[in-house]
Amino acid sequence: MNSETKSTETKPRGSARRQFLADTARMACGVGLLGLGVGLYARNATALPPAALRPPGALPESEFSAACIRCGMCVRDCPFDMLMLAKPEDPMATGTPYFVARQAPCEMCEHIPCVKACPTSALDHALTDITKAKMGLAVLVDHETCLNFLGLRCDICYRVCPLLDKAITLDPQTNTRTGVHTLFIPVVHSDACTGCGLCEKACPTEIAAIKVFPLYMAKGALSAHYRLGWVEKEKAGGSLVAPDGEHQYHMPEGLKYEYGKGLSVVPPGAAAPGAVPPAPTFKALQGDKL
Amino acid sequence: MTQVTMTRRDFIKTNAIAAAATTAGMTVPGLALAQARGGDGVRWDKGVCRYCGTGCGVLVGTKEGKIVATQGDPDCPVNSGLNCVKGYFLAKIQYGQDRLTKPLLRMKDGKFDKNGEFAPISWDQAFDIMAEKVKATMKNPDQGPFGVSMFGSGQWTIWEGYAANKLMKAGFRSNSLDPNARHCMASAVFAFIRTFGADEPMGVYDDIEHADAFALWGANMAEMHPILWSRITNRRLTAKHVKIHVLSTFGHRSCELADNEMIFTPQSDLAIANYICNYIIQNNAVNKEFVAKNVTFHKGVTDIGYGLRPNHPLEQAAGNNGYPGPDGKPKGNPNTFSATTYDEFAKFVSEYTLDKAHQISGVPKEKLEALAKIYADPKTKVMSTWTMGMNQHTRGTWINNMLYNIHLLVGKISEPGNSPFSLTGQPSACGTAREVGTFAHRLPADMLIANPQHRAAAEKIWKLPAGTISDRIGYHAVLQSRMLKDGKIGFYWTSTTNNMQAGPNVNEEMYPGWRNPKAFVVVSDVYPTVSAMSADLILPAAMWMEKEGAFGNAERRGQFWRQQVKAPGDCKSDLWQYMEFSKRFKTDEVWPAELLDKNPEYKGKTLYEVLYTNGQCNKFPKEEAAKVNAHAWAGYTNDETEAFGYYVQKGLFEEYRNFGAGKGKDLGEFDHYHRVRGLRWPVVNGKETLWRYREGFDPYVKTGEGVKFYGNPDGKARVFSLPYQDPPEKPDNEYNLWLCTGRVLEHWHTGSMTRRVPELYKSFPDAVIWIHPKDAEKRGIKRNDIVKVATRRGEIELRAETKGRNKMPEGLVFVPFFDEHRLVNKLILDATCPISKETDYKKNACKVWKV
Amino acid sequence: MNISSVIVIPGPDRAQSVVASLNALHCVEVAAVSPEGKIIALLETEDDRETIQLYEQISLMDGVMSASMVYHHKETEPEAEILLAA
Repeated sequence: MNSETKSTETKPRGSARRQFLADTARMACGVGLLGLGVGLYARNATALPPAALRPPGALPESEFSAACIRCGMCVRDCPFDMLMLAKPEDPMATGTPYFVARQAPCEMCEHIPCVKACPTSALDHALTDITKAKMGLAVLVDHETCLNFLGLRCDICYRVCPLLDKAITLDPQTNTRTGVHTLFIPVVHSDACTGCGLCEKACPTEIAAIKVFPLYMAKGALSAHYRLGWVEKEKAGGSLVAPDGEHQYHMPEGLKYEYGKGLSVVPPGAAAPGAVPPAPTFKALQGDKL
Repeated sequence: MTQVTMTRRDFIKTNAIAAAATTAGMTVPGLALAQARGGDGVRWDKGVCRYCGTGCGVLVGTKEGKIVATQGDPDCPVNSGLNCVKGYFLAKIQYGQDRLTKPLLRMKDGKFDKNGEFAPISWDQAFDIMAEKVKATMKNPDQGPFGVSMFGSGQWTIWEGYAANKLMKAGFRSNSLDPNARHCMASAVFAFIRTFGADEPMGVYDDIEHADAFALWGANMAEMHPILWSRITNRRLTAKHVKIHVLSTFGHRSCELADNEMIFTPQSDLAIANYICNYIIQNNAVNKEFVAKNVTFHKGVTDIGYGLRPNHPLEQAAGNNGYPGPDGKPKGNPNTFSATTYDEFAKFVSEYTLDKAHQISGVPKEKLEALAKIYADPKTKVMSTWTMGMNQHTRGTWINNMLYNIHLLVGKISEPGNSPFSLTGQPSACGTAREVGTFAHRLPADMLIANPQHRAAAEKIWKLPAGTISDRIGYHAVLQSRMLKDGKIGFYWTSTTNNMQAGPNVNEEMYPGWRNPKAFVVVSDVYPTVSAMSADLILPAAMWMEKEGAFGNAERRGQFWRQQVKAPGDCKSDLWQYMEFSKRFKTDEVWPAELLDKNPEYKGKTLYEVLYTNGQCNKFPKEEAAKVNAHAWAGYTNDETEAFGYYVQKGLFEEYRNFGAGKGKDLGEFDHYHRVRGLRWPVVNGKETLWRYREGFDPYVKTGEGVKFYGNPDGKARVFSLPYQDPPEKPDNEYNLWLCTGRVLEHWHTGSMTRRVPELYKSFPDAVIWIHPKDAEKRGIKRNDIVKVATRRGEIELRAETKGRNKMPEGLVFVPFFDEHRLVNKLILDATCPISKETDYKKNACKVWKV
Repeated sequence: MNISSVIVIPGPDRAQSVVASLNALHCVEVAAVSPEGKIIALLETEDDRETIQLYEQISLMDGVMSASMVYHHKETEPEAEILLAA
């Protein structure tokens, strides 16, 4: 496979890699926590560079670097050789596994060998469905260079996505420049996106317009003091408060007014079947259309 | 209600276990229950946003007696679940750290002293000194009943405004009650009455989805009415033929979407409006049938002055300002007009040619013509919107009238999509200030103090003796400041507003007025605003969800909410304050002997008994609160109902409803509002009215009448001949720039609420002055430099901004007024529209230099 | 006071002995044990230093393969009551 041949150039190979594993494992054992405040410890542990993503099932970063024993088993078992181990000069916990999406994304093996290989819970064994992984979140970072935003039909990220139509959908919007075409705006859905990085890898622009970031960087959060009314309503299966009472309006014959739809013309004969359809009497209005 | 309590230790331990269990993918028995109980537990109820006049519905989430969350109400047709960023932070407005919780009186040596320091006192003590001051003012021959004065708000709930109106106009027999809507909507109100004989728009927000063109006449809707703007944007994006025209004195966010952006010289909107009428006539686009049937023509008096003090040279020269002339008689009346004809009107506007309009306004001719065409084209439905650009104008009533002229000439009115729509800036400018009639010249439901039949009708509904209500118009907002300074007002009570920051000419009129030893100034407020700190007595008020309330928005929609939480400390609602205070007065103390001699049954009674326990306001027992609201809240009650022993809000509203019933101002039943997301009046037989004056839509227009402007006795609307006139102050050699003030999206009005939400404060902490880069360069000013801006009335210091959201033309600067540390209103001349008495905050001459 | 929770992963078949050792420690409470043997331990201590010492002690404990700190909270008013729900 293509990605395999490419990716081998970017990471330590064969025996050299295994030697490195042994070193880092020893180092990990020697690291003591004494003298570090708990807070400081947690801060260091979450300092993961934005381009580095953890393997599937990784615990939240602060727990992950504590739970990972730097054994390198996940790296060994990855069939696509896309995982790497952090070197001492890397700005992250030495010996821990990561991957860089633009270089080699996660291919989302159904049997998740990396997780199975993990001897601790650093990669959570409860993850048995790879589509539930949360390695990061794709973000359409640059609207100015994304071809679809420019009105071109690229959609590569959308089509390359392993969860097509779930993790990435296309939102049609009017192209006001041409007036007759549609922009198909790629929208990433965080509930489905696994952060595998295939979209970032595939993005055809010189520098990817869509990028995968670790969740803590990518995902905004609404403040606790505000909820989305329409979401809460759907969750509750109906109005959260006493439902709106019935509304009635003064209306000329031939017109009706409905909540959410506004004013519309009643098709002749719809009102009273069998009866002679009343001529629309809204001729008091001067236009011939609503 | 069963209550579950837990120590914080146990609660944290539960959380710690839950976090670990989630991380490890484990389920821990018993944990789910503890979390579910401790988890959400939020009770939701419907409400209305506290800010602007759009009237977005919100759902309010309460937990442990505190509002913890809000959400846009997905079932409210105004906003369908959306909010702007101010609405996003609604949950925080009641919880600023410096909330006032006790009455505070300026004292020295344990006694009131105008120059003393604020010290906490009880409500009893507060009412003692207030009652003493009211009684002294009434007896003072320089002051009298009208020296007892109140300044209220379009943020009052409907019943608060109604209770205040009764207390002042019937109880104290003082018409010196005015709302801050005077600074905001008065020009719109006077023009509605002059043109249609009835206040408030004929259309509804649904017009947006039916219009083919929009014209913004002095409204930056993108920032000030963001939710309505998103509806207009959607209309523009989804219907290709729709065009947006924006008139403004500077470039702003709404111009981004504009197909036709017109930056005009301040005041020249008057010339543009007349040019459009001329264009319509010249191009044979008058809807002759409509005009013949529905319109009459009039010529308004000119030479009406600028609402300045009578001794101002401009007023001495004016012949129709209504001020006393040399002979002591009033010099005319600015609000008069005489009948003319269509031909005379056509001749009058014929001088407003395209060349002339272009020359006065500076707007390119093709742009003016493009605007005129949308009105003239019979196939294009036009919605015109405006706010302060037209209302805060020394010819504010005129420009409102002139815009109606345009719509009436082409008959584009009172039908879906054809809509001159006056927007409002406060949540209940319509519902309280206008409909309840808390202006110095008004009574509820468009009735007027000056009209003896209207006074009699009010006295009858209020069950008061004939002659209780004075026939004299009271002191309006700007006049109140002058009367305070002149020692004519002895007792002044403001509420739900921050006039020391929002009113004009703070330096020369308002501050000296409030600090005048002859006046005692009371401010009911929730935070220590500039106004509160300038008062003699501060009363801690309950706000928003701490009381049961009702607002009326710009599309005639009344919306109610239930009290959700208790107010902190000793805070009390304005309603409680007015009603409780009325117990301190006997009719014998405040009414003249002749009135009581004629009506001895009122002798010896308190104002509370006469005004509020009249068998109407106290008609509904306490239990009624639970009954009315049972569909939403079992066992509901509110603080006023508990305090007074009857469902106060219902009693007041049901009495109030009598004013408009059968007059085209019909409101729905109290109970109905609590069940629905608002009702648009007139509500007849439980049915709402969308488009007024149009057969089929409006129950007051009979079959076959088509259109009827029934506010006027002849059923017709009035078109006015009114000229372009210069403003009272224009840039000159020394004060060489126009100064315009206004708002920004992040802050609402004086920022008393939004500046206490940390996120909103951070997003726009300090006011800046927007200035054109060339104007800045000429003065050696770079972006972010500290500059001084001065008018003849004062100066302030702030940073210069040459970029960003507002694009200034050369010669004009803009300063928002939300920042209490940079009080731009110190610089504003108290010149008003002489008809509406609304201040022009948009056109002062200033100079700017680098510090 | 400090309240924290730690996920302790014992070696195969060592869950019981690890639980016993944890319970023997002052300030440690075993909150839950999963069928696979994962243990959630609660630590209640006076300050950060004590928390770290305990955590170190658990990490080095016989039969423990890994210990990961999950939740940490510093509390000034542990006995204050809070109203949970209606």
